[in-house]
Amino acid sequence: MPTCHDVALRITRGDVDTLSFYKRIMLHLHLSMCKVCGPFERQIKLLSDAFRVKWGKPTDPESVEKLQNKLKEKLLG
Amino acid sequence: MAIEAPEQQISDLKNRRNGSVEKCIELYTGPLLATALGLGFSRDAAEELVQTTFVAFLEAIDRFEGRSQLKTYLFGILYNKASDMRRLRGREEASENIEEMFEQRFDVKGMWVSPPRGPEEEAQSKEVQEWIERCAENLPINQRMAFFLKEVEDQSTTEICKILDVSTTNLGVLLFRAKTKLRECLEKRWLSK
Repeated sequence: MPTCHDVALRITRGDVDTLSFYKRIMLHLHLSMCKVCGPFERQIKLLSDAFRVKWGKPTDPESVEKLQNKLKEKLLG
Repeated sequence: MAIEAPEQQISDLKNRRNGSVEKCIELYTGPLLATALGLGFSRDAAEELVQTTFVAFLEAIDRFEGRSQLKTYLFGILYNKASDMRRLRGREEASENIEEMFEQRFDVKGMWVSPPRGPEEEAQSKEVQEWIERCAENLPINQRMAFFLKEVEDQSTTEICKILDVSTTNLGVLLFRAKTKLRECLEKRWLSK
């Protein structure tokens, strides 16, 4: 069974998928039982979710078009 | 699988033929602007950055050999220009020992000595959004770009490594540091609210 340190390191690195099948099962087993690593995993996921909410929205089409026209004028005369 | 830039497309761009430059502007202005904003630039600075990126792209297009996707090439230029702008504005942070910050949370047996605290959900809440914006301001630009491309743009590891000009191992280090620093910062803000 991996230690909390091993689990937190893998989750933070985001490379759980690269582990062998057996190691992945052990990691998930640890997560299902550990009262600290579970919340830690949710916090790491929250970072990505919050970034997507904050900066993942499509940029307003009108301002993109305005910038495109400005660029065409500047770069193509 | 990454599709490399087709020869015809490169040739058209080098010769400014068949509306190739216009197409490029139409295709990539939106994603480049979104990335510049995601790096924390103001609207005006982000637009300036996109313009600088296209100018540099057209100046360098003769040297482009089509070994990467056009989008990757453009994002690489944007990243270099953004790094230059940050340096000019003196916002580069002194390096910190993030690994030590992480290790201090555990004892020699690998058990938590200082369990994580802070929010676990509600990424959309006003409070979390405000915290994440403030915490992201403290990330060095390479960590922020790596995290943004991976989590928001959903780019592959291969493409991100080309954009940032780093190895896969280095990218892993950047992402680890970005997440550790963001999480620790979020925890501090949550504890002091």
